[in-house]
Parts: sequence; C-alpha cells; structure tokens
Amino acid sequence: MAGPRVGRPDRPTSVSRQSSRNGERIAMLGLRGAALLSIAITVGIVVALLGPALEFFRQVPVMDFLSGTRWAPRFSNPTYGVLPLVTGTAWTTVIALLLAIPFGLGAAVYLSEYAPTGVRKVLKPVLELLAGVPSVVYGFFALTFIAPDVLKGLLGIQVGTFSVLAAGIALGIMIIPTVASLSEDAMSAVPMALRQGSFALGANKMRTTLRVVFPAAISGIAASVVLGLSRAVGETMIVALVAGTQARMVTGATQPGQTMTGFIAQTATGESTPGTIAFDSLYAVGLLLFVLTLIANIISIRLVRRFREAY
Amino acid sequence: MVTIGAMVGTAVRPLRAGRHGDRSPASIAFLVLLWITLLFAIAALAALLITSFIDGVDRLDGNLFTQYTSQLFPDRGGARAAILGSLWVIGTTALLAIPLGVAAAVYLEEFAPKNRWTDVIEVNINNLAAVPSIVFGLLGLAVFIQTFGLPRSAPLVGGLVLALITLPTIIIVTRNAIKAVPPSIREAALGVGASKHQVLLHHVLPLALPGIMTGTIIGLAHALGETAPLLLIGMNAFITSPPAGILDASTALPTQIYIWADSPERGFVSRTSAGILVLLAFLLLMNGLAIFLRQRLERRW
Repeated sequence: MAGPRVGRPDRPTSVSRQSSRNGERIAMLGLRGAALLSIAITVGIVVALLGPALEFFRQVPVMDFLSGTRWAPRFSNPTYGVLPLVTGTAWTTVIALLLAIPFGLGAAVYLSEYAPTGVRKVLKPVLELLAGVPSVVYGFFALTFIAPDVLKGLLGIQVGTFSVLAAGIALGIMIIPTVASLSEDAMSAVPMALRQGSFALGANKMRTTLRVVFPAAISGIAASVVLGLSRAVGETMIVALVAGTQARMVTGATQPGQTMTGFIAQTATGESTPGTIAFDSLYAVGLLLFVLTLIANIISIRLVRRFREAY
Repeated sequence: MVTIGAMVGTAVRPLRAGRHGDRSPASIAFLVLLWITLLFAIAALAALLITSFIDGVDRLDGNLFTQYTSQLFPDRGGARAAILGSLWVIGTTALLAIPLGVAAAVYLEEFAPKNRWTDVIEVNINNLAAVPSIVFGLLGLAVFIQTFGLPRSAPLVGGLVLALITLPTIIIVTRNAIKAVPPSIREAALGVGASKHQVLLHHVLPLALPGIMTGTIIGLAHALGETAPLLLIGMNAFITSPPAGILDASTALPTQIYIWADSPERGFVSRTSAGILVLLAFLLLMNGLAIFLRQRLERRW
C-alpha cells in the first residue's frame, strides 16, 4: 500500500516485507473459507436430507406420514405412518430422562454444594469417564446385563431380549453426565453472596440449596435437561441393539419397539436399494429427527445464554 | 419485620439447631439421598467395566490383535482388521479435522468482523455440535457415497464424516484456548512491530497449543467410539482384512463390536466383550494423555 507510513490503530506500521502481506491475504482467505465451511456443512445436511425426503413425500402425503400408526414398508400395500417410531423414541427418551434427571441433578448438587475438594477431584473424572464410554458399549451392556440380570433377575420384571425399558435405562445412564455437568456449571455460577445471604437469615445448607441456589440456576438446569433430551432422542446404538427392530406402537415399558434412529440404522444396513421409496423413507425419518433435535438444541442454547448472562 | 425476624432467628439459632440446622434429620436424609445418586452413577460405571472384563478377559490374548475375524470359528478369530481399520479412519479424521478446525477457530476469534454473518456462523457451530451423529451418517451416505461416488466403507469416507462430527468440537475448544491467552502478550508483540499474523503464529498459537491439543485429543477419542455414522456409510459388511489404502473397504472397531453384538451365537459374546475392552483401553489411553497434557502444560495466567 503506497502512501505515507502512518500507523493505523489496529495495524501498526509493519517492518516486514511487502510479500508477507500478500501471504497474509491468502492466509486470511483460507481461514475465512474454513469458517464458512461450517455453514456449508449445515446447508449440506439440509440439502442431503431434503432431496430424497421430498422424493418420499411426493409419494406419501406428509399428513399420512406424520399421523399414520402403521409403519410397514415391505408389505405389498406399504404404509408409512411414522408414529410407531415416534412412540419408540418417546418411550426410551422418557425413561432415560426419568433416570438421568434425579441422578444427574443429585450428582450436580452434591458436586457443587457439598463435596469437599478431594472428593470433587475424584468424582469429576468418574463422571467424565461415564460420558466417554461409547454408546455401542452401553448397548451391549444393556443387552447382556441390564435386560437379563438386572431386570429379569434382580427386579423380576418380565422383559424379552428387546425392550424399551432396558434401552431407556442404558440411555439414562449415558446422559447422567450431560445433565450433571451442565447443571453443576449453572449452580456454581450462582454467586456466593446469595448463599451467604440465605445462611445469614438462618437457613441451613439444604434449604439454601433447594430454595436459593436451585431456583437461581434454573435456566441452566433446564438447559441441561433439554440437552439430555436431545442426546437421548438422537442416540442410535443403544436403541438399535436393545429396543428392538419391530416398528410398532409402544404402549408399555416392557415391550419392544423401534425408534427413529434405530430404524435409520437398520434400514441403512439392510438390503434396501437406494432410490426406492423404502430407502427414501430413511431420509424422511432423518429429516424429522434433525428438526426435532434442532428445536431442542435451540431451546437449550437460549436457556444457557440466559443463565450465563444473568450473572 | 424481616430484619427483626432475621435477628431473632440468628439469636435463637443455636437453640433451633436440632430442628433446622445442618444436623437435622431432613438435612441428613437429603445428604444421604445425594450420596445415593452419586453411588448409582459410580455403580453403573463399575458394573459396566466389571461385566465387560469378566466376559472378555479370557479372549484378551494376542489372538485378538493378530487374527482376523472368522465366521466359522468364532472362538479363534481376532479383531485385527477392526483395530487397524479404526486407526486408518481416525488418522484420516485427524488429518482433516484438525487443520480445518484450528483455521476456522482462528478466523472466528481473531479476524472475523463483529457482524451478523459471524453471529450466524457461531450459532451454526453450536447447533452442529449437538446434531445426532446418525444425521451426519445420512449426510455422508447421500453426499459422499451417492453424489460424489466415493467407495463404500472406505476410511476416506469414514474419516470425512467423523471429521464433520469432530469439527465443531475442535473449533469450540480452540477458540477457548485462544481466548485464554492474555491480551498483554498480543499487545507486547504488536508493540515491537509484529503484524497480526505474526502475533498469532509466533505468540498466541504456541501458547494456546496445550489447550488445543487437550481438546483435540478428547474430540478424537469421542470420534473413535462413534458407530452409527460408520454403519451408515457401509462399514457393516463382513470385512476380514485391514484396508490397503484410504479408498479400500474397511471396518472399524466400534462397528465390528456392533456386528458381533448383534449376532446371536454364544461364542461371540466373549469376543465382543474383549473387543469392548480393547476399545475402552484405547479411549482410556487417549483421555489419560489429554488429562496428562492438561496438567503438565497448562499455564495459569
């Protein structure tokens, strides 16, 4: 750049050669390209799913898809009602949350309010370890231990090899760390001043935790629950191994069922040929899954922003 | 009214300690409940590790690493193809995701103007971090295999898909690491005449490197355990040899575990458990390395 060598505030007069500036421009383009790649990925997901999904919806009306109660793609008169898959996902997710919310919140409360530093140093890695176990391992664990030994053996619940209960339990264990860590972040962010004010008024620790800290951290806690829900809905391997492969309207916890993700996994690894409507149904279900988790994630991010800004 | 109540309350506190203090029955019950919740999490993890160990320890011999899978003789086959395949896939993932992720993070943190577009990119990355991995698998199937025509079950495709999954994590971690470098370092460098790029390359990035490495290793460890996307791009076939190259058909350890787990034959259970133990060992190694690096190299400003 010609002209007098006047230094500008954010770009001081450089003593380096001109060529390094050109290299810098190329580097900038590269960096900007990398950042824009993330947008390309999202666009890619939407387009990749939309194409075959729209193809599917051309043959199966959207309302039939969303409200039908029979999923039978291989029959001579195929029906594509997605509700059986939705009930499968709903049952496993609800059971998982029923497990993860109390245990996750309990762990979070303990870690943030009660645990001495030494205990914390041990417990946080344990939770991180739980979070790091691959889901296929949880699925196998559910298949070989939870279903036969815990449910049938210990608790006497009559379940078959496949059940949404076993899948839900394994799923719940898997998301405990998700709920726990985000809730604990939220509770730790509550300023000490609030707790001290409560103590000064004569409340004991339990009351302070339940009546002061918990409500103050509620948006972060809600965010953790929603994030856990999103993870449970999107999880594949546990439900593929243990929930079952029959798409049916699930009405009880001990029944088998198939979830949206389980269906996608089963069909993609099965014998359906690409281009057929049975294969395109894969993308329709995938689109529904993407939309549902997107909504959950947006809600969770909004809630996190709210709790981070509050203090 | 409240102040008087507070003063009275503090005054009679010692007398009321029995009913409302931290030793009250309700408080103790609450604490015990909290302990139970923690114990449950620990017990679940222990049960998982112990059952895997009991089921798989007899198969944990050299065979697992040196033999290939055999459908006819399940008790003699090994997981060599899967282990090598996983290494190929993760290697590809790392090669793709790390440069792109660090570059994108550097741009967003240092050079991006504070406008609408940047906000959109940031929101987008946060969303992508929470998309279910199977959706990425569908993306890989539709775009890489059906549109681009890449070979099914190739480590390249697996690496591409896993790189997409790991990219948001690496971006977020790198941004945090760069944010943690204090402005005084940058200002000092600028003060002696460095350009923005030089400040970045010679001062900021080297100091942010420990954080970047830790986060990247954790992200890759997570990718190592990913099964669903690899299944969707075709690594569900009965492949018994490691890939000859990046475009050769391959299998991976988690998908192999899934295939074995799905098989009803008894002989496969102990082998599946052994495979799980190998996978967990790898993960433990990677996470341990990340934690070790974090302890050793972290600098407190």
